[in-house]
Amino acid sequence: MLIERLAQMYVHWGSPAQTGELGRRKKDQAVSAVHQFLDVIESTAEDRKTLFTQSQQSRRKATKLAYLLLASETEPEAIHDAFLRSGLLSTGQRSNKPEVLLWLAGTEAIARGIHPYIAFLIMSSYFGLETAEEELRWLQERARASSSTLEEYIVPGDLTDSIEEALKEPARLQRTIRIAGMPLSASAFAGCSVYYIEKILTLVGPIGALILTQMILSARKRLVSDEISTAQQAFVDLFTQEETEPTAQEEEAGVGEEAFEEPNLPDPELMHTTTNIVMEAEAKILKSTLSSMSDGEIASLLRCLEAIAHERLLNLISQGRQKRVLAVIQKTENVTSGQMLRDAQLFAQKLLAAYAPKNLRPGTTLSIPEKLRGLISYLLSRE
Amino acid sequence: MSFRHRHSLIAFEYNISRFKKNVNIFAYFFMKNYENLARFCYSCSDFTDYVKFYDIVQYITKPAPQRWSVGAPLFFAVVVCAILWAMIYWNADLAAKIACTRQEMETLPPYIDHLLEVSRSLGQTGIHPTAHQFDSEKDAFLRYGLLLVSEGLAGEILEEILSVLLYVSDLKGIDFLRQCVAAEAILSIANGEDEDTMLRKLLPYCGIDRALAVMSKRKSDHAD
Repeated sequence: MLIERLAQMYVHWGSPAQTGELGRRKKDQAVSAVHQFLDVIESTAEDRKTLFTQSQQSRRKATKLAYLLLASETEPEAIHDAFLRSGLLSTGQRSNKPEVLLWLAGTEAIARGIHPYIAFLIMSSYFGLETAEEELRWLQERARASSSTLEEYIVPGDLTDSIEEALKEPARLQRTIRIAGMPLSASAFAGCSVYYIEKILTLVGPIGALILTQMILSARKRLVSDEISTAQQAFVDLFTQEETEPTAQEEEAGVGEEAFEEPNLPDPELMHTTTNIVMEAEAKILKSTLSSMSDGEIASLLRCLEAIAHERLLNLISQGRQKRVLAVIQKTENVTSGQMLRDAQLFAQKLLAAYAPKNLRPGTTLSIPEKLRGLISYLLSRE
Repeated sequence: MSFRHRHSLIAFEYNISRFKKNVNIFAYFFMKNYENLARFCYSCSDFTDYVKFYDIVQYITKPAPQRWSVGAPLFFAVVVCAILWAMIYWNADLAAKIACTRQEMETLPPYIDHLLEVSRSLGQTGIHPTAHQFDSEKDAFLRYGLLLVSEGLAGEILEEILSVLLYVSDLKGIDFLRQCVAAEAILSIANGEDEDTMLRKLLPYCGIDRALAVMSKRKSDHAD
C-alpha cells in the first residue's frame, strides 16, 4: 500500500533532503551519471564482469559501489546491507541521501532482473517530479529511435485463436497487459504472429513497446512452445476473468435485487428449442458463431441446453476454452428464466449473423434449412 | 512518549461511545480490510479526529459483544496501541508533512471527483499512447503518473516510483495530500480497479466525516 510504503521510507531513511537544495550543476552531473549507467548496463547485459572496469573509473562512492556490486553479481537482498555498511547512508551524509538512495534503488532493480529502462525510471524519480518527467520524455525519444525487429514465429494456443477478438477491445487488453505484467504478457505474445504483435505494441507507449519487444525476443529464445502455450492460457484467463468477474457494486446490487427476481426454474420449452437449434445448425457455422462469443456467453448458452447438445457444443471449442467455460459456469449461480431466454436469443442472433454472407444484399434470403429457420424465428419471437 | 502513544491516550480519555452510530456505518464501508486504517490515520487533522479514529480501531479490533464497552481501560489502551504499532508505520515527519486544516481538506472531494472522471473516461476510451492524450492535464503529478500507466506500468513498480516521488516531494500540507490522493488514483487506474474500490481508497484522505458523508450519500442514491 502506497501510504505504508511511504511511511516505511520515512521510518528507514528519515526525512529526505529537499530536491531543490541540490544545485543545478550537481543535479545535471547526477542525471548524466544515471544516463551513463543505463548505457553501461545495456551494453554489459551479456557479461556483467566488465562492470569492474567501470567501477574503477567512477569517482563517486555510490556509483562505484553500485557497479562493483553488479559486477560481482551480488544477491538483491545483500545489496541493501552493502549500502548500509558502506556508511553512505549514515546521518552525516544527509544532504546526499536521495542521490545515494537512487543508486541503491537502481542497483537493486538491476540485480532483481528488472529491465534497465524501468530501473532508469525508478532512479530518475529521486530527482523530483520535474526532472522525472523530463527524463521520461528523453527515454521515450530514445526508445523510439532504437529498433528491434521480430521475425514470424507462431505457437498455436488460446491467445493465437482469440487475439483478433481481444484487439477489438483495446482498453481491456491494455488493462490485462498491465495486470499480467510485462514478462507474462511478452511470453504470451511470443507465440503470436508479427501482424498482431505490431498492433499490440501500439497499445503501449514507446518505452513499453520496446521493453515488450525485447522481452518477446528473449522469451522466444528461452521458452519452448509448451511454455508459451501455458503463458497464452494464463493471459487469456486474465483477459476473460475481467469480463466475468462482477464488481463489488454489482454484487451488492445483486443481493438486493434477488428478492424481486423470478424463481430459478428452467423453462423446458426454451431448453428444447435451443437444443434443437444447436443440433440442427451446421458444424462450421456453429463453430464460427462460438468463436464470436465470449466464454461468459457460451457458459450462459450451455445453461439453456439439454445434455445432448452440451457435447456437440463443447466439441467445437478448444480444450483450454472448455476449461474456462466450465470455470465460469461453476462461478455463476442463480440464473433466472428471463435471463436464460435473453441468452438463448443472443445466441440465435449470432447464429443468424454467421449464416449471413459478408456481401449480403438487401432482399436476399439467407440459405438456412427450413426447420432451423422456424426454430430461430420461434425463439426470437418469444418474450 | 511517542507521537502515536500520546494521541492514542488523549483519545482514550474521551467518551468513545459518542460516535457509535457513525462509526458502525463507517466501519461497514471502509473497514473490510485493514488497509484504510493508515490512510485515515494520516488524515486526522485535529483532536476530535483522533477520537473517532480511536473508535474505529476499537471497532475492528474488539469482538462484537465487547464493542463500545469502556471496561478494562488499561487492557484496551494497550491493545489499541499494540495494534497501531503493528499495523501502521507511523511517522511524525510524514504526518506533519500531510497535515492541513479542515478548510483545506474541503477542496479534496472536488479533486477526487476529477480523478474519478479521468478514471471513467480512460476506462471507456482506453489510453492512446501516441496521441498526447495527457498534455492538457494541468496537474503535473497526475500527468506524469498517467504517462507511466500508458507505458504499461502497474503494480509494485509503479507504486515504487510514485512513493519515491512523494518521498522527495518538496510540497507540504494540502498540496502534498493532493499528490498522495493522485498517486492512489493512478495506481487504481493502472490496476484496473472499479470506481467503488477507487473511492474507498481515496475518500479516507478527506477525513472521517467527509468520507462517511460521501459514502452514505452514494449508498442512498444507489438504494433509490
